[in-house]
Amino acid sequence: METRRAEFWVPYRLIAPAVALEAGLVIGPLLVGFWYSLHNVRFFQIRSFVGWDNYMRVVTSPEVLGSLAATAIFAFFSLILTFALGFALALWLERDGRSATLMRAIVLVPYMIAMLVGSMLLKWLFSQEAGLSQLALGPLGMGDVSILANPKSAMAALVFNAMWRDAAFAMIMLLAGLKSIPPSLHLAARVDGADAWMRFRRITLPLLRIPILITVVRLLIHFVNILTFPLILTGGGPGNSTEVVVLRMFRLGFQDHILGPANALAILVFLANLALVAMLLLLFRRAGRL
Amino acid sequence: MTIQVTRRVALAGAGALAVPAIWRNAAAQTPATVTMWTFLDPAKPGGRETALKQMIESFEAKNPNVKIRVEPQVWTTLAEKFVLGHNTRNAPDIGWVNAENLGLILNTDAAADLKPLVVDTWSAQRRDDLAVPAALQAVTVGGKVLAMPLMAITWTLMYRRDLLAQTGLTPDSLKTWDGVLEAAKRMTKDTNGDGQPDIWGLGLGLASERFSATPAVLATIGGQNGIFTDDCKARIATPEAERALTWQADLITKHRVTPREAVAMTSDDAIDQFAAGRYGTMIIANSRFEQIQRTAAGWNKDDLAQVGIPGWNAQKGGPAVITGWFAVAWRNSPRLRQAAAFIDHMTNADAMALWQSPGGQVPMLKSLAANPRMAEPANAPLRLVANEFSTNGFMMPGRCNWSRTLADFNLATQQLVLGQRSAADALKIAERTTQERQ
Repeated sequence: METRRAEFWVPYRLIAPAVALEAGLVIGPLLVGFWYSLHNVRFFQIRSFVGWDNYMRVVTSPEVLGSLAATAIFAFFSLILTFALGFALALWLERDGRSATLMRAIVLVPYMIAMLVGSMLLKWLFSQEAGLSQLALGPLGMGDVSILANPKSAMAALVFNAMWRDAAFAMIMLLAGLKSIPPSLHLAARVDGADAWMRFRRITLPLLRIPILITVVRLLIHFVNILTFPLILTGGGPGNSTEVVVLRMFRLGFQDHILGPANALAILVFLANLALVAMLLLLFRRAGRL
Repeated sequence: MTIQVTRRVALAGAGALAVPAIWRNAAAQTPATVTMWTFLDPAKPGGRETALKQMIESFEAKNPNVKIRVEPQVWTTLAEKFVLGHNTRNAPDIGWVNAENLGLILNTDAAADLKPLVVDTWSAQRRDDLAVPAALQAVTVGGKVLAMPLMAITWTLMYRRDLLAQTGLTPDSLKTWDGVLEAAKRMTKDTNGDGQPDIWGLGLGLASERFSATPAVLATIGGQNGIFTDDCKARIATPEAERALTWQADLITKHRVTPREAVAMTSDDAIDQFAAGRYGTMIIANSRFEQIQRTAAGWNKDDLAQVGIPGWNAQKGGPAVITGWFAVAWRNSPRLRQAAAFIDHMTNADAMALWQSPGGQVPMLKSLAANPRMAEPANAPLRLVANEFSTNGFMMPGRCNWSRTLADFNLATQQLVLGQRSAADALKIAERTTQERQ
């Protein structure tokens, strides 16, 4: 009886440290953030309870709405291009060989560099006055073009930053998926006369659904929550054109010290993240592919 | 037996009475450690670091029962860390705060009143000796002195003597914004014939991160005597500000004396460009003078010069906006008396002399400014700033939070340059966002 009771508690004891860590580092701050979001917090001190006012203020703020649009544009293009490049690299470097191993290592370099350092490097690259872009654009008669001073090209530079760094992540995830497909399936299909496109569509793609899902979800969450790229590369500018929602949140909280709306926005971003993941999972289930 | 017990009890009682006395005595001999958060590390080389180190040594020599422990911090977060430390009852005894973030301190209950502990102990002579009394007034709230000015910094118009000489203009022409524009037009040139200027007349860093004061902010302050009312209502959407903002945007769009990329450059980026010889003039904090001389590349460092901020007309110079560093004592400090004593020590005549040399700071006392040593050529940059403080010194109201108002002006300039908004609309946004921080 005693032994059975002791055994009953073993799993709980084993997961207790992880739960405690989660509660201390995630749930606790989340609750504190929610508490702050319901108050007027001035100069780091709670002054009064304001209910949902901070949430109303955030959802009607033109700056926040602008940052949501910037986030949508950035996340959409970054996701498509990063995934496409990562997938292409994975298919290209699937076969083992000396050159493939070397290329994999080269492709991984941007991913291994710290995000901050990588964005700084790109800033120097794109800078018209102090960077290398002039060397490429000057001979083409585009010497007066400043990539970072134009809203559209600044956003393109931001998307490039995401693609340059995170395509390697997509490649690793998809390469692992590709390696798990038994070669015998492709051989059998070949014997049956299937061409490369048919094999890709009927074998590779269906068997890669889960790696694809994981990669897409992971990349989407990463891009929606990105701070370092816009903070370092474009500073949210010019004219707030690349100020994504997390950068706005960062500014409200850590630079403007307006903690009520900052926490309200943080809670909304958290809920949006949950909704995004749920939506993607639902889509895949509905398609009957999971 | 009874007698023995009584003796034992008596001995025990005497012992018990003696313990607090011994403890008190021991405590009196144990040095009190006063913790101070600052951006300076006295263990490192540098003028200000050496000055602080010497101050600590002299204070500890005078007060053997007090030790000063410096905990260096990142300068940008000193004020917020101090208030957060107060909220969690874990603030240092002394914190340093920059002028832009004084609002954080003055609008909370974190700081102790230094009037009875420091200011009231001063002689009338010491009070009259203050070269920048506005700095002390700005931190006096309801009769309480909540911070003590340590060092004052301002922005000046730095320029290259060699380039100005080539334009045929004199430094006097830089006294007005129109004169600056004329000089900038003449300085802007394409030296390698690729169709793009290699030297621009006026450098600007207009990004919303790592920003600094620009002509638009300073011309607005000068034109309407500030950007806040006394009760911290932002005054930015005004005709004066519109005039200043349009003037600044025109530098890029109309006159082309500033590169368009300025809208994406931080203040540090622009200063690097200035040091690299790409700009003829630029508004920069006076504390950067030596650094620019040190990093000057492709031009003679002795050609670096500075004048006060221009005005709209030559009769009225622009504002020498006083910024810099203040010391704050934590109101709940168990060593408040000792902390106040050290703050007093950091602001007395000897300390102010150290801040000036080796610290390289502008003299904060009239007696130091009048010292013959200040007439030496090496002290010319400091002398200019001291003069500007006395003639055009301007201090923002301490309670007003203007830590990111300079970035608001930058964003307004970006929007105007990019054609996203009119000057009036861009300034309305800048006013609203500044107001939201109050």
